[in-house]
Amino acid sequence: MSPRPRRSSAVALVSVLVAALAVLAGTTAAASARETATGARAATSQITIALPSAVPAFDPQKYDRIYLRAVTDNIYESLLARDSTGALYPQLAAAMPKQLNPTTWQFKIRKGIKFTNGEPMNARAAAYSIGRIANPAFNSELLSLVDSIKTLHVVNAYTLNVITKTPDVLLPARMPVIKVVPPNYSKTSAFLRKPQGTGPYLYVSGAGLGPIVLKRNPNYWGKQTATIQTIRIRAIPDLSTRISALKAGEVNLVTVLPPDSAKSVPKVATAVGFENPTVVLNTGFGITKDVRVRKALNLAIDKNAIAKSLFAGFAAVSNCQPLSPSSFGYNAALKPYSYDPNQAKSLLKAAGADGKTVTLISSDVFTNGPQLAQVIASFWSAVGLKVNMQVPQFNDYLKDLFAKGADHPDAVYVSTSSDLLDASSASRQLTSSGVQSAYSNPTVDKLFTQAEGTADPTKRKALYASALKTSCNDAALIDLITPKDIYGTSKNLQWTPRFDGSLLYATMKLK
Amino acid sequence: MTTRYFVKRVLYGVVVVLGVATVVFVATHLLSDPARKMLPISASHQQYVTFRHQLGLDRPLLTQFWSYLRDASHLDFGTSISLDTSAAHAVASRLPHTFELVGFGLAIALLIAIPLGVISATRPGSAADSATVGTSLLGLSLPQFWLGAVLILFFAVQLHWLPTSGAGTFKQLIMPGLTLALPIAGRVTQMVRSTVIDELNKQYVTAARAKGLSLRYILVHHVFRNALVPVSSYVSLETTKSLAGATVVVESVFAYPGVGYLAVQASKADDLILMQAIAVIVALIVVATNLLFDLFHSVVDPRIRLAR
Repeated sequence: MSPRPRRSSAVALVSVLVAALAVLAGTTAAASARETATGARAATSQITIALPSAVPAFDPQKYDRIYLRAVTDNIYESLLARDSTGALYPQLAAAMPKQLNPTTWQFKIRKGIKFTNGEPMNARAAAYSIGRIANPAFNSELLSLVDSIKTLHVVNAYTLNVITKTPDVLLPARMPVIKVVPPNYSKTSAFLRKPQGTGPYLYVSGAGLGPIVLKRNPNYWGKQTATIQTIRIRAIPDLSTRISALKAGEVNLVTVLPPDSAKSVPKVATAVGFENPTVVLNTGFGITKDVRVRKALNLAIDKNAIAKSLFAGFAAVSNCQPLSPSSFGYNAALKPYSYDPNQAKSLLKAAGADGKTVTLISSDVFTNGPQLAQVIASFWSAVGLKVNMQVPQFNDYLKDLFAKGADHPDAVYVSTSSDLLDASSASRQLTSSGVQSAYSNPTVDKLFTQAEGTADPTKRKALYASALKTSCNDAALIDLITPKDIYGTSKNLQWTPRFDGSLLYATMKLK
Repeated sequence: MTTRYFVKRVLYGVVVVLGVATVVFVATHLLSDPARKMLPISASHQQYVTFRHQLGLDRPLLTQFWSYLRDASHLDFGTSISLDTSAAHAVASRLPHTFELVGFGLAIALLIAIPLGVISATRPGSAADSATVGTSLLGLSLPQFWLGAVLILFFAVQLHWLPTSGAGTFKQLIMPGLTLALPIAGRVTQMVRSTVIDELNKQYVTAARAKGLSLRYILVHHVFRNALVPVSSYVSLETTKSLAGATVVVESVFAYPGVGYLAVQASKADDLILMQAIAVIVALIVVATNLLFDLFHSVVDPRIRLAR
């Protein structure tokens, strides 16, 4: 008989393992306590930001990505920028540009500014920067924003003339997205990994794996309003980990919070966002050709309920236009089609569309895209329509969205941003030639064309207002809601988010 | 004999990697349009055409496939669109983190599983056995995304003992390591238990015990050696599963900058070039890992190399 091993050895082993883990955690706890103490001391001068995704290579001219802007918006500057209300002001330009003739805008550039690598910031640097984006071979994601520019003429070291292909009153509005970069340095490979700009923060380290560290620029050319010495930017892809990091005091700011997570963070900060979730209706073909059907589709949807339930109240009902309220030309007089299922039913009956099938296409590339489509479909079913809802692969979705004529489905969900903060962006969905448009009304086409060629802001605003009113009456689209951007912050961070999602660290303070 | 066996295994490996490369090419080029997928939704048609040309997507498909295979054979997958750097280089820079995580996770798993499995096998039906079987079942049924979130809530948010996420220090390795390890430990414990029970029921054990050898001596000198190959085969499966799958979840939950996290990033950014690089390089590593384990098995058990 061999001796039977002691029964308690399994229990002993488990105990040893648990004890080992406890010791491991205990030793790290002391270190962690020391770190927290240091963190508390450094609290006046350092904050950490958690982004959902890593920051790509630091080229502010190649990519238009919100996570990249969390770094580059603080390092690079533009000729013109927008203040917290969305109004344009001269940043690297000495004054607002002058329109010398319908196609020529003249910029005077500030003197005495240098990039942090020592290169002078002047008209040559500005011309180089604009030209770099406008070069189709460079394939910038911002190309479509500068495609009106024909040539750039450096008049002298501090004067730049921008000549457009056709009269372009929106040229100043295009400037904030064009960051001015050092011409010689941007041709080196170091440019992608160690940005050198003119802004209030300097790059320190972290390209690639991160965390990215920025520090306050002590030699900033302008009035230095930044009070926080060091900014750390971490990528934490998992939402619950981001929120945990905020609760554990490791980070001070979490971006892109879904509405239902807002309750679980120490402090919430919001701003009316840039995105416009909209359903594009085919006004030329199919069941949606009849304006009564389009009105019924609008009236059948309880947009307030969508804002309250799906967006937990972090959204406002859109006022019958695919625009952010901070856009120039936003028509505040328009009111949404209010929820009225009975009227929707009678309109459908009158149009003979009762019980017919309507096709609705959506995509999961948009936040809540399929869920919103599902909700819309259930509202439409409730007024007696059959809904053929599809969420195809992205390529097939794009084919549907860009299709013209009878190939365009009855209804396609899309969410686009008002990136120029001008009503001209609505022309994408409201003019016959618009890339995402399935609506054609010669009056609206004409009004947009006139507005885009009218320099006088009051007249232009009136033209936009008229165009938006006509398209609203035609029920060309279903403008759903304007969602808010939601941020979670630590209790000691004082900051008001901006309409454009920019994280400007110079505007943040710690209590 | 060993060389011939090894060469044969390498050839199998080459076929597997070629197969993966082909599937990846078909998935990215035939089932979708890489240029459209990588461009922003507002891109104009002209931009699309230029970009297609830049990527060489306007060439005949077979030409593209051939140049893709040729470049992939030098580990050249092109420039990642989201990182603006060589895709292969991006993957290579993340590999040490993944190896570190998988190595640490497997070490914890084995440290837990082998002793528990053996103790449980040597006294089937006892309270210790039932406890081990129950705990290992619990371990293997825990979903990793949930386990990770619970560990974070407990150790980071409540107790402030460990950082929630990130990499670079040993503290930051503990929770992701445990999250990876516990389900593996559950499965390996059961495997060790059943293998050791099988061995203990064999005639050579009865003969050894009849000779008067102690159970400990039999376990160490006979049973362990015979159980090594099946257990090690199973561990090789767990290793490759971790490298090619589990790390995607664990690294994302803990923002651990390894290849799994990079894969999630690449898919979010629609960076097909980076995804191709990840798929092929991970396939290479999986094949190499299998080869190493095969080699190990053929060394510890000559029957394996003689049988083929």
